Amino acid sequence: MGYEDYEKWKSKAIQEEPYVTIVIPAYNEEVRIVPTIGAIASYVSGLGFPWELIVSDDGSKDKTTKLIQELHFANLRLIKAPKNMGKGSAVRRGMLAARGKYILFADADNSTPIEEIEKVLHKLDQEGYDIAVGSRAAAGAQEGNRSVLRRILSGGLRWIVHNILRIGVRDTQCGFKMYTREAAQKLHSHQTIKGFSFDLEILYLASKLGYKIAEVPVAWVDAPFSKVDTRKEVQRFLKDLVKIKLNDLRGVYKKSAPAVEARPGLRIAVITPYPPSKGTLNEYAYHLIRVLRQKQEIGEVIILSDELPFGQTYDTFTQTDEDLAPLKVLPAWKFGDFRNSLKIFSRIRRIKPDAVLFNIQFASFGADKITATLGLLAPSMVKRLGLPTVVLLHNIMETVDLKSAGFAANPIMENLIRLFGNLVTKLLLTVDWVALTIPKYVEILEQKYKADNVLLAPHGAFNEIELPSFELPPGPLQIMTFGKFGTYKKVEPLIEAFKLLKQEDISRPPIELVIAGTDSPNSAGYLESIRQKYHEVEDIKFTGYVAEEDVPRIFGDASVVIFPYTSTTGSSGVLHQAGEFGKAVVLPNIGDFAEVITEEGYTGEFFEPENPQSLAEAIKRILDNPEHRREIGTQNYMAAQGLPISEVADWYLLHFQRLLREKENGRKKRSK
Amino acid sequence: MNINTSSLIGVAVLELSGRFDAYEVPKVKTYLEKIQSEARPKAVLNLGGVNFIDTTALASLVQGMKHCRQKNGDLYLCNLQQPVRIIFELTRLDRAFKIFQTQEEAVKAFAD
Repeated sequence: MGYEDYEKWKSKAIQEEPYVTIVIPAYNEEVRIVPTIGAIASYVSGLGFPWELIVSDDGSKDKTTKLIQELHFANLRLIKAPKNMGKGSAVRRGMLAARGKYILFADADNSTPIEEIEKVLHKLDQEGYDIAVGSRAAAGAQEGNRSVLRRILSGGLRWIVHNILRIGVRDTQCGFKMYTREAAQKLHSHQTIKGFSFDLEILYLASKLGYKIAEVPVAWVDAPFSKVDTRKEVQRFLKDLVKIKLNDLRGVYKKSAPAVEARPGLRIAVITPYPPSKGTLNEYAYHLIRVLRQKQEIGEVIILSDELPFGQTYDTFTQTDEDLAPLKVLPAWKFGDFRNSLKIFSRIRRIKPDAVLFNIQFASFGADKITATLGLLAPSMVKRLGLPTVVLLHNIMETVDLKSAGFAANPIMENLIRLFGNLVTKLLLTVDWVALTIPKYVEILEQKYKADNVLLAPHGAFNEIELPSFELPPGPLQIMTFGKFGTYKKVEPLIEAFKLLKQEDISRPPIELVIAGTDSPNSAGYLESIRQKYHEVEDIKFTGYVAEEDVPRIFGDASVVIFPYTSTTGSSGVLHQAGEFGKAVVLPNIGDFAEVITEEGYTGEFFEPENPQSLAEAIKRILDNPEHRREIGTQNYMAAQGLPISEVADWYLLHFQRLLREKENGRKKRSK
Repeated sequence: MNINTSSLIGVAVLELSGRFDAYEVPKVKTYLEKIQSEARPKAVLNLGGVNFIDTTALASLVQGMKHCRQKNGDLYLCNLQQPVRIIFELTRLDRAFKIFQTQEEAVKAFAD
């Protein structure tokens, strides 16, 4: 076992299936989690097999998740719950997300030293057991620091468990258990207890289903800061014990995977990138789905999202909240994969939703022409399954400057792409409805393709927030641009304009340029090349990826928001956000874009695209005139409030309900 | 956890073994306070037998080191097992302490 093994594990993502996954449930563990991860990573990396670590956070309110994220370990996944739901639910989420052949669940306090892992692993991979339970009661176990009261109580509880539930295991509660993946996922998918006594239910089920269980003596230390209130836990333990017995009598465990309780209503599948995926339209999807889940008419939302880079995971595969429709995020396709249509088609066929919504644009499925086009075949294929299908198309081929968007190098290629684009658009129009966010797009598709199933769908404002104060924070005036850069969003003219502004000899507070966001998926490495090219220009800040919770601060701190676009591909989500935060904006004078924003009620200062001097002048008109800045900000704020996204969700719902009614009527007619 | 104490050329040496967590902190603190009462406290903590250290224990070491330095002394660490070394790295305390491979090197560093 060497330090090199640990270095390799923490910095290089394993490519193969993990032999072991270790799941640590954590709730407010800022004091203990880092040493525990350190001890585990150090020891297990030296054992010579590929492994991954999952910390399943249970809605911690302290710095637990921040500390874990800061480690940047390649094979560590953090799963976050939206709120505190109990240790059992955290373990369940971790177990269901684990990919290892064998899965160990270990407590966050390292109370059973990780060195004991080989004992439990041996029972599974050498002796054929399905489950190995670390035990403080088995012969040979060592206990440290355990109070007399806890010893007496645990003895009494063991007696009850043995005689009432007939579980052969003497120590059901030790936080050190290993399962085969098959056993873990089957047992935890039936789990109903979210609190501390979930182990009892899992072992009861395991005995009932005939899994082979070994009890392995392990060292155990009653770690300091134990969060167990002994009296309360004993009461809850006894209550859960009764619940398990009753569940069994009622036949709850015979049903298959009651993981998500069925809620009446529409089961809708949405094909879209979804955070933390960095795919374009991820943020729009986040807000649309957030409000869709609030609708009583919705029974379940199933997102078919793109696969994340190795080491990352969707916050949770299944999110449940009593007031919201359950949400399932299924990684179902991969950006740049030529099989995406087939993958989406077969996944939809399996999950059989009531309705399907695609939230896409022309480059959603790939950075190159072939994968992007092949992916766009998915909606027409899904439609052939007979499901009501709506495509929300955020741009159309007809208005995209393919050259600027990085898709065509020469005129012949451009014409060829447009030809294919026409074919793909025709196929897209075979779905029930194609929704577009701009009247002009509707007009183009209606005229060119004689389409009668094209609708205008408002973009909608993401948040309903208080009228902003328009005050700026102390410090330099921030000139901010936000988005995914490199194709048609180019920051070079902006940096040149920023240089011109800095050279000016006038009295103005210091200025700072904030470039917020990442490379466009089509232009990997773009921002890094910019950083190198302009390293000598001071006061430029690159934020990198902006997490959802940081968006208000990034916009709030900005004096002016710049749109350094060389062409546009539709109504801008960033412009809506700038509006919500009451920001003045500087926009390119491109016909389509100006038209779109004027129609929606927005305003700003305009500049000639790719002209730094013109851009610097436009910025100055806002920066040096606070009154003007406020005026533009107010108008944009009012425009953004036009139609909240919640009403946009109603709009989709209405169309789906109508399609379902029509489908039902068609069925009745046919059966007559 | 076991603690052995000794003194080598004016340097107090504490050899710890076992799990060093909040339960063990008061014991170690008692020894450290005794060392800190000297005019120029010099201490070496040999962690060769320690396989796990939690953040409370780390905090007690930081406090001990600070007190020693306030009186122009110091608290050196040596003989860290790999897991403990990694925990120091992850908490970035490897930059705060002077850490030596062996006890001899640590004691000698005070003499130099």
